[in-house]
Amino acid sequence: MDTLEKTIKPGRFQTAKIKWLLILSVIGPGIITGTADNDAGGITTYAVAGASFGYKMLWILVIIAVILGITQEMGARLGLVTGKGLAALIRENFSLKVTTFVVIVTFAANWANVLADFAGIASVADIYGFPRWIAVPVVAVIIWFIVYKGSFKLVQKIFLTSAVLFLAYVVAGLMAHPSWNEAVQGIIKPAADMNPAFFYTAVAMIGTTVTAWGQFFVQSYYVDKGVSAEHMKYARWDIIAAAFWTSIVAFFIIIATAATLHVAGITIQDAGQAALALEPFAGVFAKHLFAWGLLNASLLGLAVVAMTSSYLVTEAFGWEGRVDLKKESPVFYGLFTFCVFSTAAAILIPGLPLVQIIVGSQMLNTFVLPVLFIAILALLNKKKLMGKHVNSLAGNIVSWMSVAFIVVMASLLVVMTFFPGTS
Amino acid sequence: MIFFSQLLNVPIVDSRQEGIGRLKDVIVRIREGGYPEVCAITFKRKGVSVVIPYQYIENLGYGEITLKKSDCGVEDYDYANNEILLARDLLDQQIFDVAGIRVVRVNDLELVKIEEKFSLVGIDVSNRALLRRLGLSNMPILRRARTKMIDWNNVSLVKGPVGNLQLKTSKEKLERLHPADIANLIENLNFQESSKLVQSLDEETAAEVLEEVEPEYKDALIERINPKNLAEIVEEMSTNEAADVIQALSAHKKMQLYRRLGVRKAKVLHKLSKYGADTAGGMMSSDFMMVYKDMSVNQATRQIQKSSQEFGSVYHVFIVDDEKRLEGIVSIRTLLLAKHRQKIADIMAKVYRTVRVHTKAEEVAKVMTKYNLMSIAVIDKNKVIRGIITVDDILRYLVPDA
Repeated sequence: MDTLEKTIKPGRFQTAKIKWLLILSVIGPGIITGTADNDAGGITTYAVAGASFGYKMLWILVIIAVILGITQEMGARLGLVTGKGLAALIRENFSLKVTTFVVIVTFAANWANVLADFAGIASVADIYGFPRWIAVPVVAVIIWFIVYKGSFKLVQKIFLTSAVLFLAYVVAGLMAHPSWNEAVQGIIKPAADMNPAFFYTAVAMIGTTVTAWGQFFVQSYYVDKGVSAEHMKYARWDIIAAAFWTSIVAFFIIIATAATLHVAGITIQDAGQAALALEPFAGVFAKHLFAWGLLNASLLGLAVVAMTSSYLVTEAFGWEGRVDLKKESPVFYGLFTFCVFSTAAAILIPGLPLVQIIVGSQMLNTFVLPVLFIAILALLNKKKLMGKHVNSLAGNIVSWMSVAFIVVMASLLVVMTFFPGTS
Repeated sequence: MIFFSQLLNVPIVDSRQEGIGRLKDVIVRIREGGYPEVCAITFKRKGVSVVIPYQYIENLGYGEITLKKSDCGVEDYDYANNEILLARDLLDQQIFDVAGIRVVRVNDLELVKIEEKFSLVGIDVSNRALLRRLGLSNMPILRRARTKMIDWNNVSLVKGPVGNLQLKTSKEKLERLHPADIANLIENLNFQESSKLVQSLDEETAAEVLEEVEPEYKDALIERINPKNLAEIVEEMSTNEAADVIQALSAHKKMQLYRRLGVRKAKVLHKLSKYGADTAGGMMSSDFMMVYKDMSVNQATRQIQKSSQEFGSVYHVFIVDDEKRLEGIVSIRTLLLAKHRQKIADIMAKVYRTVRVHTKAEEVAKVMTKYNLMSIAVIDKNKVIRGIITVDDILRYLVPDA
């Protein structure tokens, strides 16, 4: 046996290489979910936060990173150990009625989310004076084509590339010549303006971090990727990296507008305006970076969220499909087609009450989150299901606290949006 | 006929007309060669699950369930290993539809009274069953949805908790299928379930099934099969398939597998697995019929008779010298028509096509198509034969998803 070991045992260099390949084979779902969280809506929130309050809100990003990490880890662990998506688990362990409620509400919230991403694409088209009614359908067709024709591997490569392209915001942030001193102060010294607008923006930043679709997506993606429970360690790295990258991108968006628009006292309403407003301060290149960054974020967001909707429904009702087995899942592609094209059509309707729809989506998200997280935590505490990966006491305390926090934040956001006077 | 979903939560009334609880689950007993019979029902009393054996049930129906006695519940019911619970083990879980060759989710269960006893007859996988359970089946537009039943005899369970008998009947149903169909079923499962399933099959079937599974899915699947079972399965595979398996394994799993396979086999497979998958070396099999050129036809035929069981299809016999350098080839037909006394060297074809180990797969396919070859020899730079590629290997390369 010695000779055999000698001839075929990998050298140290090879072992290191194998380890890297292993990490690469696990990484992806976390990063993609995290960055897709920074879609058109997220970028708008951060740009507004920086323009209105300067560096003061940076410390909230630390909370966001922690919350994102904790909730994503729960989803990853469920997926890795059970090999099942969240919708299937809820149906198998709770009831069809709960499943149906969660699925329908999440589906509706997702629809509005995809709509918001098309709005992001439309505003990029506006920046360049390109007609919306061409840009939106073209984007819809391209996204549809990639997901329909592409393999799981290709789709994932595109998603990961897109996640890296968020670098545009880092560059834009650097070009704005921020005050690093103030930025560091903003992170380590929690500060707040005692006014409703500050509070509202802070709640919006946290409240949109954890989404129902994100929980479904991250879990299903780990399952479809075939990551096994013994690679949990690498999945955690993926999630930690995702939490970092998501917050870093947000950090640079905030400092980009903080160093320019806030200093000059310019307030904005959305990410498209931010791109235009940046030009006089940080140069035309910064404008392009912001605009293309928004385009990229919207594309990733709408593909991911539309895919999640399809995952969700097919899995819950037993019309299972996977991205690489299209012959088996006409329903999956049917739903995907519906999500992409109905939203693309809707965004072109003149006078569409976009803001109200997005608020409505946020509200649905708030309704479904408590149900979803109670289910997730109940599942994580099932010894029979989770084996040695069952939640520990410390884990439970941390999870319940994060869940309570996120539910309160999401509810506050809805309340404050509807009753602006109360805050 | 009763739908199980409509029995759930139906009140249970004992002989004194007192309501004692609501139905939580139904226990059925799996039998060989028949439908599973209902043998008990369960309900919850102060958070504890209580079982009522079937003999105490007066009437089982939608409105209410009546009992013949009072106080007939058993708290510490002793489950036999061929008993399963409908709500816990079947409803909303995934099953194999062996007739339709697919994985489906159980939306409802159909119980039919056969000779005074209720039996589980069919599995409802229709959308209508979903609507029924959501209380929407009477809505006029939704009425058109059809019921789709799968006979229990065509159902195999995906997940445990499996008693021996249940495992056996489930497996028998599955093993009726062609390995390629089992492979298709498996691809619809998650890896936890599919690896369990592969390991429950006998090694020969498992090897055939693995050969048919899509390459991408296969790589992740074999990583999860435990080394002992994998070694047994690999023993049943042709060498080129086995080499593919090894190529896909992580370094750690590879070593574990080698240890169980023994030095000789491990070395052969290790060498084979070093070739790129899209080269002749990566596609070739080292199971081929080899005969020395100084043999007579008679000797050669006898050698083939002795060893032919080890190989798949044999199209050609490869003639080598003492150093295993390829000298010629003989088709089975030529061999059949030759006289016993003739020397192999005299009847072999000396002009024939070969490819080298590093020849690209596409090139191999072109050569074989152009010259209408059923198999082709793969040689190294010293003309030593390393393996052969048959038309099956080419087909698998060209149509990987089949």
